[in-house]
Amino acid sequence: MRVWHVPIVGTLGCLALAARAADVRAAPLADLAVGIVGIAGTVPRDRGPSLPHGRWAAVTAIGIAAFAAARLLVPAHPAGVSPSTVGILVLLIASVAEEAFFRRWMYGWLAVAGVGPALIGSSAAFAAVHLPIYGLRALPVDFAAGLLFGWQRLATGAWTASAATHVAANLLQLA
Amino acid sequence: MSPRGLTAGVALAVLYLVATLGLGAHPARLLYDGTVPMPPYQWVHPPNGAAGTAPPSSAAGTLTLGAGGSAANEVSTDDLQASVTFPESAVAPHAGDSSVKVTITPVDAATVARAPAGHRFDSNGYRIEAVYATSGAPATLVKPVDIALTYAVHANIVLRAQGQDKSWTILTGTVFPASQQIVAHSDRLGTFAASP
Repeated sequence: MRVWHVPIVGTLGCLALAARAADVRAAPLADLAVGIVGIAGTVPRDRGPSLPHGRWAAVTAIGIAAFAAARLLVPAHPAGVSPSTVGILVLLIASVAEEAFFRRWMYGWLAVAGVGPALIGSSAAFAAVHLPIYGLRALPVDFAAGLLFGWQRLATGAWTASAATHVAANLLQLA
Repeated sequence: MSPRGLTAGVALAVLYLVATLGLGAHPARLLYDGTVPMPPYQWVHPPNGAAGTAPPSSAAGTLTLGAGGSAANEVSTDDLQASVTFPESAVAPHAGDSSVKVTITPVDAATVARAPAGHRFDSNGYRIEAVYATSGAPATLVKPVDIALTYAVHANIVLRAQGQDKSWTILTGTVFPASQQIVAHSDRLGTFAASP
């Protein structure tokens, strides 16, 4: 399989997501672009083993439980503005798009080199694209969250558990 | 799922919690993620061309005071357009006082003083005051505080005026474009405004 395009597409996708900081109003276009790559892009060994629904639910529940616990323990940050309904929809669509890009497409390609590079690489990229928006304080939280999402990808063989968890995390943040 | 896989997942969930809670006294977010279109800026006095909105919010908060000074805390307006973060021991202890009252009041920055040459205001002015609750004496800052202001369109500095000053001091700040906020350290309180 030809892989020359993978670093180019991966870099462009990350740059597009990072550039959302420069123009917030154009950010949904970046989300849409990486979402299309994430969902439609070719990935080696795309489908993992067929899983019982119970395992998918358990893996998703562990992820959501972590964010719910954080919600209980962490006070709201002032940057958590009260968004409009459209804003919430944009945020949730961005969550799915990011998971498709990082956990399906990027993880899928990095997994050719092994589980370790896939987990760490996709998590580091996920954290890095949010630095221009939120600064260095975002790094440990987003990297650790990326590892948790990556584990969900590994445990289920699919990206939907992390997408559901990511959406839930953002809804919890708005609660 | 194997027990080993389950253990790994729980361990990563705990790692995430440690990363989130490990940011110390500063409140964290669950996930620093995405971009959300901002609601319209709420002006005390909308500049030419700006739409009228609901009036901006003020805020009041309390810092508990111990022998070593004040506890860390943050006071924010309900509309999140202005906040001040006091690190641990930012306010000196004061005999007879066990707490500090902090208030944030939005004002029209143009009524405080003219903007410095080459600058304009891109936010309300926010008068931030702290007094010892019992004695009413002005609180003594011994550590810088973080001032976070939301700006309407664009800003890269924070302006500060003190007391009866009729001029502004320029403070450098860190800009967070996605949330249209600028954060600056300040070693004293006063009136603050964001400016390009």
